[in-house]
Amino acid sequence: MKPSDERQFRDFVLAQLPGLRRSAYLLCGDRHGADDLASIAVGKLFRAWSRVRAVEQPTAYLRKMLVNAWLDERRRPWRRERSTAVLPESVAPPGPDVAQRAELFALLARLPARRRAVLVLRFLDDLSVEQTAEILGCSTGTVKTHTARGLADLRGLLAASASDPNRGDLS
Amino acid sequence: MSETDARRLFHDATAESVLGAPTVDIDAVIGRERRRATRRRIIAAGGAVAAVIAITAAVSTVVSHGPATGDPPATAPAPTPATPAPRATRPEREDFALRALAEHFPGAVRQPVEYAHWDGRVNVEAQVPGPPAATVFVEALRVDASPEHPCYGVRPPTCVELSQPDGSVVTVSHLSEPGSSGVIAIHLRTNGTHVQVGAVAAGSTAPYSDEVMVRAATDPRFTAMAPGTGG
Repeated sequence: MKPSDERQFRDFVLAQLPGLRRSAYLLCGDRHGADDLASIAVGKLFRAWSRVRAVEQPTAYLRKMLVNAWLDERRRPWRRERSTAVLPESVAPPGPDVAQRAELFALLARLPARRRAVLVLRFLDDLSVEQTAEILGCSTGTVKTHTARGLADLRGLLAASASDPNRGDLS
Repeated sequence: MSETDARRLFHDATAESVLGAPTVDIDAVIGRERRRATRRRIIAAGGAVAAVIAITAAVSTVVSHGPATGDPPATAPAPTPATPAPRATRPEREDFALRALAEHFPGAVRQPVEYAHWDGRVNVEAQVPGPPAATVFVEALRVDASPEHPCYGVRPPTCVELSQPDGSVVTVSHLSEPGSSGVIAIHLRTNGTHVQVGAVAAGSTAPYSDEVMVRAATDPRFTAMAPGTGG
């Protein structure tokens, strides 16, 4: 890669990294896993940079790499949950609304992978239905269906949260 | 909940104060990718040299001894690897893979798993009753431009590379996480075929030896099941 191309790559990645990490975090639900995913996507982007920089929307291309990296990671057998005698130590990430986040990630974890990806791409990355369909390799109808059902799931979460005084306020 | 509410919820949940400082090191990623590219070039060059040597040896044998006639050779020829039927569908290739997998891991029973097949890869996962009871899996795909470095993405990074006679490389990685252990062998062929065989089980010991995993990963039938290999 020529130095000028590498500079361009660095500038692009630096600009995209915050958004990329946020998307990765919502997809995998783990801060460290999010950085791993972002790193994998950036590596894939570097390999394809000569091709990607010429396309109209390199950002969408990067999102596609991220989603694919996440799907690849989550299907590995050792990534799945399994019961163990020893519980790993876990500390909730700092920040406001810990209970709210816990509720949200618990809900997202229950969703099928594609629906979760649709919600992240549509409502965190602000992509259109068409862009989301392009990234996920499915029809716009499928994206609309997943969007509607995902919103209904979130609505159900809100209702459950509102009716349970011990839970965090999501509204 | 409206779309606006969903956007606010997602943005609040991923605020910078939640995520903290990034640990993604762009320089490290670029360095790693450069090393990976170098390694690919070396592997490809090694494969080409091996092919030239093999052709040269074959030609010189024919010239000095003439074509083989009459008696069979002293050693039995290598068995022709079975391949999936031409134009086999992905389910057919997966059935083929399961049969081969069960030969390496006796008793393996297929376990249906939701996979995204967007990249055309063929993969099969199975449960072996044991002992040792384990989850085993195999996947094969063609990597046209940029194969993943087999040692990357596995934690802890205990990864060994084993050069093969044909110029290809097999890597064996060991995984250890609380309550489970595993071993993964990846055969990165010079023709771009990428076969990964893994086994994971409860406990602190890998369920199978490196030898078993390498034998499975280099099984030509798994290479043949990858889409686009003509199998």
